[in-house]
Amino acid sequence: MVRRVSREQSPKPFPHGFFCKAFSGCYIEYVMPKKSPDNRWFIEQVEQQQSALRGFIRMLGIRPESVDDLAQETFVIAYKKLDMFEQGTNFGAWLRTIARNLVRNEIRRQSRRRVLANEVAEFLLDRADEKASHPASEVEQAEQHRQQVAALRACLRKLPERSRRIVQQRYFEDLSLGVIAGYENTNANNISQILFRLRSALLGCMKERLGEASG
Amino acid sequence: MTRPSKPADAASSVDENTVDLRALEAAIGRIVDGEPLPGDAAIVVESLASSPEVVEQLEQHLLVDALLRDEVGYDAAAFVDAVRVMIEAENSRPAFVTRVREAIFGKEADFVCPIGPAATTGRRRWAGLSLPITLACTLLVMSLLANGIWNAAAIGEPVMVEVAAVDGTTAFAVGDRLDLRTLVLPDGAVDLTLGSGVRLECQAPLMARFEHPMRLHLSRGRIDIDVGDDGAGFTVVTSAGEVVDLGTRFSVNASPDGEVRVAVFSGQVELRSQQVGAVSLVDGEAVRLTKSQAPRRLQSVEIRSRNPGDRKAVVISEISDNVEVSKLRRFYGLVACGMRDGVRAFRDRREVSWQAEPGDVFPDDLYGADLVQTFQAERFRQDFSLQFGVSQPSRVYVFYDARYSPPDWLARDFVNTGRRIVSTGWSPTPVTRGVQPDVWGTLAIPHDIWCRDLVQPTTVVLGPPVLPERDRNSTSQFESFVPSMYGIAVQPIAPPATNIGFSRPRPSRAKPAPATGAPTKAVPVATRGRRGRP
Repeated sequence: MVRRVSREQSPKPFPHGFFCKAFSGCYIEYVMPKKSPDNRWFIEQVEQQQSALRGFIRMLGIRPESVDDLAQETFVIAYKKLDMFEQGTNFGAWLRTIARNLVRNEIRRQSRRRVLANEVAEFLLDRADEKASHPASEVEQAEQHRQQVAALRACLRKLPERSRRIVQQRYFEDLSLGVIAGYENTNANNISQILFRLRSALLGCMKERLGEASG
Repeated sequence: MTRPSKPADAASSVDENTVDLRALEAAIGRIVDGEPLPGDAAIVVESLASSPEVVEQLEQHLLVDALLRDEVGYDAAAFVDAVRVMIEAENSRPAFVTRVREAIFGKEADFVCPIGPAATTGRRRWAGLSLPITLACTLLVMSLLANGIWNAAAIGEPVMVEVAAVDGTTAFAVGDRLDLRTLVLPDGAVDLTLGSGVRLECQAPLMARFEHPMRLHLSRGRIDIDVGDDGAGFTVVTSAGEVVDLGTRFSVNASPDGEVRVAVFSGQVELRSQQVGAVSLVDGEAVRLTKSQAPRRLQSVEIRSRNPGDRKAVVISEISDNVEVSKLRRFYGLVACGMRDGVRAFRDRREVSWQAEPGDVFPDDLYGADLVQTFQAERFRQDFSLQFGVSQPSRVYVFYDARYSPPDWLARDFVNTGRRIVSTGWSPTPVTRGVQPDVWGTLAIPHDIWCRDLVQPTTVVLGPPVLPERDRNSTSQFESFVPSMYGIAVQPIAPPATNIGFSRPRPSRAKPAPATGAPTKAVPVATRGRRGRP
């Protein structure tokens, strides 16, 4: 794609573009096409955005095992409709809009396969819609996600051995509550409560670290 | 956290609030954990509407859950690969037509008019540049056309396949006939048969594409290939090199980090890589290689279980030995849930299998255990050691040649159950010396079943099968010979409970063994078999 900009405009460096001076009175600016034979630009976006997008979808009340499916659907729809995306605007926010619509469809279909609890998901979706109407929060999301990941890493290291083992079983080995309960010689309700307290502790630790970082 | 106040006396209100709070937290916990009970959603939604703190709590727990899923072992590269293949497939259908149309109508080649003052004089300036612009457009069209043609060729041609078997995926149905160009399998397993008779056993997550019916480009995942009688020359292309079949059954596994693992189950393949040129691999050999590294020995290869209802997860992992011989490429076969009557016993003895003792039935507790296929070649090594990881509480079985006294490590760490199975199908060799053939002329070596219970995930180290020098000549009539190599099987002890609220672990599949300490004490365990020989 070739875009011509006026000399008066200061040419902004594009990550994959270059500038050349041609024609009197304007610059010819080569911009990495959104759709190219190797889809490099789009794949880079997938790499950058996938983690935050999956987190976002999970926070809309989608079952953990369906998050990947919906995130992939989101990217494929985004790819199909890439011409509608205005380059230079927030790609992450655009993806989240698509994801919200996908989740809305899931709720409408009363899909128990993908949605944890329709009423809860509806509530969370409304909240997400409301947040999306504040563009400032959209811009900050990517950076916020990076900081949260860093804080979580640090906090995980502080967990006592049993908690780490349960995190390992639940999130790394993807074991159900019942299976972990079998290993820990307790029942699934207890494991759910342990995980609840564990997440609360991690949240407290993360808030502390993020507070320190921002302070 | 605040909740709606209740018109009751103070003490009962506190109690109710505490109970409500616990119930609410438990409900949030179960919803976040993905295992809600029927009333949980109602409890949470009621609180969500009245308390912003509950909303925040739910969102934060979902956030931490998502971050943890991402952080602890998520394969982001596989996700990106999956999207890449999906959009490639999306592109491949109308790619050529679209590109030509866009090239002709100039959708991709739009010039955006200058913004600001330049816009007012734009038309006049463009007027003098019509020839260069026409030339530029022509070049652009040509490049787009060339790109389209190249891209279509790179994507490959569709190949007719028939779905022969399906496990754990709804993407395919047995009997389907499909024109496949790109193959994406996010979960489960599917067996495909090509027109040439080549059978592809694909295991998720997998991404591949056909370049033509005899050439498959594997981006990621594992495919076991049986080329049959007419498929010789079938080639798998990977990022690290090409695997050309020379009439065989083999497996190729491409991981997202670029490492490719090749194992040969029968026959021979030729491996072509930039590092070493062409290398032949024969039955029982396996290597791993990357674009920049020469082939290295792959110590173990998982052999797919074909029995419906088997466990999906393998208990054994990371099998390795201390044998360091250059160009050694033997792999241990790890047969998931594969222990049963008639299963192949050793990687380097195709005809030898584990069976119940004549007149007995196959031990029930061994049935369906993960099996390690070892090598007879190792039975001579006095310094041999083999180790493997066990990922959950399990019972480890060692099948030791019953004609010999056990080596120290076996007597020390394991218990002799007093039961036996046999390795049968031997041709007369030094290892069967002294064994009397049965009425059909079959040679069978008896193996004592030794076992050891592991209460937690751990690494198991086994020693050599051969007796120490000092113990020779004092054990049996076979003292001057070396025992057969032992076999190994591992059975998980505690099958997982599946329902929430389940309070006690279910009884184990394997019956408990007495504490170790009396090395050769027989353990009375029932020998009722699932499948026995007549």
